[in-house]
Amino acid sequence: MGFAIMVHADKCTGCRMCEIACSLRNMHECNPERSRIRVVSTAENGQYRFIPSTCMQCETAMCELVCPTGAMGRDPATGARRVDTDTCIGCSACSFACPFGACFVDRRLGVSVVCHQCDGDPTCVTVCPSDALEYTRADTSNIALKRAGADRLMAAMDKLIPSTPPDASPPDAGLC
Amino acid sequence: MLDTLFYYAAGPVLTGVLVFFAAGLIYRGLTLVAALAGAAHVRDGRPGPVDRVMLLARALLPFHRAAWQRPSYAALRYAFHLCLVAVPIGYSGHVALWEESRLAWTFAPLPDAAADAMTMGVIASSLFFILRRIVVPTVRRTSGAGDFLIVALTAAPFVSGYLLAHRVPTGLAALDAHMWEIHLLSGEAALVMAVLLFCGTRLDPDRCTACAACELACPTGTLAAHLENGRRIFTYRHSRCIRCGACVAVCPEKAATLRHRLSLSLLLHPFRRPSIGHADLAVCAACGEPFVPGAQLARITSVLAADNRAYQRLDHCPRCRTLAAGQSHLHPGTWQRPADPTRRPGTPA
Repeated sequence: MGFAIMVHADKCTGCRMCEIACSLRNMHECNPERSRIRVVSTAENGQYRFIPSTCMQCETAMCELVCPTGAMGRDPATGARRVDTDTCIGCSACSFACPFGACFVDRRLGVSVVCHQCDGDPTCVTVCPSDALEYTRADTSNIALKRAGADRLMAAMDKLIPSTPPDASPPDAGLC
Repeated sequence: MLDTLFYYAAGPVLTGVLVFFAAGLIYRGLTLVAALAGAAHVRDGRPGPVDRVMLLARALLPFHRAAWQRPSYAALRYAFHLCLVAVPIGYSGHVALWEESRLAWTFAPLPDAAADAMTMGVIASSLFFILRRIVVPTVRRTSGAGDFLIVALTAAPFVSGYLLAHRVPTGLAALDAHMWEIHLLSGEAALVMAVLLFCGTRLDPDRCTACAACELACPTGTLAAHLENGRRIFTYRHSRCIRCGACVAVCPEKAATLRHRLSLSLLLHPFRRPSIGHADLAVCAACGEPFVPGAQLARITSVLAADNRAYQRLDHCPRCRTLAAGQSHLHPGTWQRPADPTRRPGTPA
């Protein structure tokens, strides 16, 4: 079983240290444009939301399915996704297939870059000052995601079948 | 009247054509060398001297991936071009002319049997190329009248030369009587054509998904793609092309091919970047920005659908996918911009 970088978006303050550290570690320059983890932000009515996004290490990966040259492989040592730079042609199919928008073609290298978890010691996790990123076993993060999904299902069912008056529903049920 | 015409065709016109051909060869050779010198990148870095020689060798020798996608056809093409050069120079009848000319070149001619075999090879290959253009659907779709003209003009001096050398009657007295003139004029036409002949990338619009992998693979910046009004436009600067076939080798849809075209304007305007293809970009369903060539998205969708994994957010751009996935799964916290951004945190308002 592999590892995954689990994102706790509720803790992210949008400082983008992860982007800078990632590009420095993997591209040898401080350039958030070339980072493998990206913090996407929205601003609505002065309310900011920050969503760090990086490779989710999908079990059945869309990028692997659509890759015309079979360059999307896995690192045998860590189990993380790794692009074979010799066969990757930089066609961007993976980046347009990724459900999380976490895969990009680096124009300078001419190949697709995805998070390879820094060979088992993810720099973004190390530098994150607010513990928004966590390097966990993939089964742990799966369980957390399943639990979150179950919560959403509960909330949706609460809306459909109002067992309690709408006023009494928990305040954060509307988030999803 | 005709005799005067042929007198000039064999005299000043022939000299002019040969000078034009020689000057054209030098000019095209220099542009090739300049393009090689200007090659900015090869796979994994900048090219060294060895890489530049290798790039040139890829153009001249059939030992690269683009050629070996169809090995027998590549072998035929290279043999065909070898004969195109060898027979006009080395045929014994022409060697006699070289000796008589003011260049006074003397060298051992090709054996007549070999020259005959190579001529027949050129004629047979030309027929094959024309038939292939008519028969193979993908080639026919991308062929115009110019493509047939190029092959016909190339083969014409060989056909007339063979008939002339062997005194083969064609059945038409007028043709037989003037075969020498026909051979001369068709040879001159072929020499002029050779200078105006440009071999470069052509993108099959029916196959190309406009992924622009060819742009990334091109070592000289010949092939470039840019966005304009929601379209991805491919431009091509012929004078920088070194015919290395990197675009052909890399194309995942086999849409890129190296093809010949006749053009005077490409010779006169070496710095122009004419467009060789374009594709409309699909717009993001959430933010309305164009983000992916429509053909590529259709291809990705069909691949995923074949595996029963097509999903709803395929029409979102990567940023909007992150937002959608994040807001549904990750519960981002909200951060209120402070009323007075200059106030330091922790100090009283």
